[in-house]
Amino acid sequence: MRRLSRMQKILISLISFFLVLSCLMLSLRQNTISDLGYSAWTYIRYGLFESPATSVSNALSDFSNLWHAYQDNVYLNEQLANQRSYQTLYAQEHNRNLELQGLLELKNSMPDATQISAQVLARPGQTWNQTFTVSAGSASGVEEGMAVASAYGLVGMVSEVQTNTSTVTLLTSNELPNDFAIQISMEDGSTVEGVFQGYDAAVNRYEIRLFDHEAVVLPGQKVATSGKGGVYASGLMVGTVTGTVMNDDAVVSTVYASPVEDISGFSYVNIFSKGTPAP
Amino acid sequence: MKKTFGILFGFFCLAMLDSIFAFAFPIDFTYTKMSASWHFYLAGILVFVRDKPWLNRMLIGAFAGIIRDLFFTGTFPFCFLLYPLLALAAGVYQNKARSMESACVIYISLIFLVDFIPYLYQRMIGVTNVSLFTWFYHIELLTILTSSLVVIATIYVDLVMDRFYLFQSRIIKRSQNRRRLIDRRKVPNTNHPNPSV
Repeated sequence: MRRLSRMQKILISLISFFLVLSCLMLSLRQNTISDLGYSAWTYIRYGLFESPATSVSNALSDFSNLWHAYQDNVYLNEQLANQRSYQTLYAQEHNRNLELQGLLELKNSMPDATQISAQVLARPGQTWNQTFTVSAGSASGVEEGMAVASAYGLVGMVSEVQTNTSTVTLLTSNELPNDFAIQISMEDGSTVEGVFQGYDAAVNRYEIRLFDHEAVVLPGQKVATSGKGGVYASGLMVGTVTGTVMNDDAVVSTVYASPVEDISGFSYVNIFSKGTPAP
Repeated sequence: MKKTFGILFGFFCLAMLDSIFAFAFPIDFTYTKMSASWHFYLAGILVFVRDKPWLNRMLIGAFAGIIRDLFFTGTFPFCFLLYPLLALAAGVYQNKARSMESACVIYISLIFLVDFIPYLYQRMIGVTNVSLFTWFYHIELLTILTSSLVVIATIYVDLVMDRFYLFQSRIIKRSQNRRRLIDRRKVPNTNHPNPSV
């Protein structure tokens, strides 16, 4: 048999030693030495490599999370900015909805009245209290002198008519083509007749002249069209009494009334044809 | 640096590399992503023992296996039994596989077997139901690619080290020969009739 070389003898010795040790430990169910050796290398490996690698990995992960949080923040800020505009849009649509609902109720309250619905197309700032343009014209049956009402009440009269549009003169303008009859509802159910004279820009009030100078008109009473003459439908809200002016004989000479609530900002109107019967 | 120390240190580094890569790039057993099992240490063993006699191969394989079992993986006696067989197989065709390419193919095949046999065993006993294609595509493909690179790099390092130690031994030999010549000149030749010559 060939003799073993020095290296072979050394290897056999080492293998035998470790083998005996391992079998002993395994049989005694004690892995102390194995754990020691294994633990030593484990600590070295952990301290030199795994811990730094884990730290770097955690740092990168934190940075990535931070970056994602930043991007989410930017996105949410944009959404928040849009949210404010959404709120404005919602408010606009809500108001529009209320206005249209009011017009619909007005229409339904006068089923026999001939009404033409229209949208306000233009209301220039220079003539804000004078005129505005609506989207209905002669093609829709609009004629000059027709009453124009918003959801809250009478706002003006048609002064010019084109094919598809019409110009409406507001009651706050002093260039109304016609005067019209009004009535004020009293508390006892009776009414006081009068005529709409014009608009006093100094006090922002309508001027109404009563036929009965001895009538007791109080603030808060409603002013509406009377429908006398058959030109306009009766019952269209004109305004609310705010005060009266007495002359030297203690007789009511002028009644002041405030315009309807939305006289400065309405988008939709109903145009009442002439001869619209009273409800 | 002494050769033995260099070899031991090299194997230590390969074993640490195995651990580090296994920690940094663990195997995905859900088979959703591609992953690899790392065989730096085994590749080093196979390359180191390729030109050794069969007994040396087995002894070196057994020693390397028991060291790995005890200090790196805690899987005694798995590597202690498997590595001698692999080391023996690495040198079986050493007479025929003279070219480096064929040697690389043999080493890579052995590394593939180290992964394939456990998979096959688990399939047979029903521990896993993963198909062969899925296992190969998600784990073994990348393993073979990385092992090929490791084997090539290890062979290169082995060749460089062989040449280094060869040059070193030649230099040592030359310096020893010079010393002997110098020593001979210093000692007078008493046989010569004229000692001063």
